[in-house]
Amino acid sequence: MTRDAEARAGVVFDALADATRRAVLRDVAERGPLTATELAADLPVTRQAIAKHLAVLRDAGLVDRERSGRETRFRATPGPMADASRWLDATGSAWDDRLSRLAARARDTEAASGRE
Amino acid sequence: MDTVERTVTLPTDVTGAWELLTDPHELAAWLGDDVVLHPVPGATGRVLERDGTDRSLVIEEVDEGRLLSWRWWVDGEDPDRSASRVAITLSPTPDGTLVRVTEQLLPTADATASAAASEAWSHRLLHLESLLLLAAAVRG
Repeated sequence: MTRDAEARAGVVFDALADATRRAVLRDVAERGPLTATELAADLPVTRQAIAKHLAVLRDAGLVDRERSGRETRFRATPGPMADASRWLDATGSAWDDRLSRLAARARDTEAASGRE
Repeated sequence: MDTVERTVTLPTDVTGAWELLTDPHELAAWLGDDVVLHPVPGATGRVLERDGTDRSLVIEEVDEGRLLSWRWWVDGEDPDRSASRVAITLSPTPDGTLVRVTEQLLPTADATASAAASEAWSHRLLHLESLLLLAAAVRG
């Protein structure tokens, strides 16, 4: 992964560490684009709190803002989530490889000591 | 969801397993092509992987026979933005030694403050939720 993608993955994980924020993103992803007012009507938090969560999600690149007239709507942008998923996959694969070499090494070591 | 976990059971006792995790000759057989790692808290080291990735590391915790952890990042990158913590624990089983590895992407320096205010959550549940969100976002 490029260094930028890895750094973005970290920001994404941080943004998703809050349950309410995850609920905001889920709502936007499933029913979006939505305004902050529509989100506040849907979730048990104030519009102010929604606005703060949307700001964090925007910083993480997880939502995008579109203005039409006097309305501002938010929609989910899956790119950074894909980066986060890719970090998980790449890191998981790397450890799969290392641990299978470790296991092979352990077997070789045991076999060698068995012959002594 | 920011943590990867893998386990493997080694057909060797805990002492043998610890040796495989900390002896330079053994480490070069599995962790990377070229490994400098001294199991002492604060010690710096490096891992050059087969694909050419070069990482620097700093050892964090060492509990002989039980736990080894370090923080590492890819050379040339800002450790404050893309470091991760690797923790390896050993536990004896009837078949040998269970090795459990976790690697967690560390919060970026500026996100640490907001992360401290976050509520506790289950890693597995969060991973599942994130996959569902990704699927919904992709469909949308």
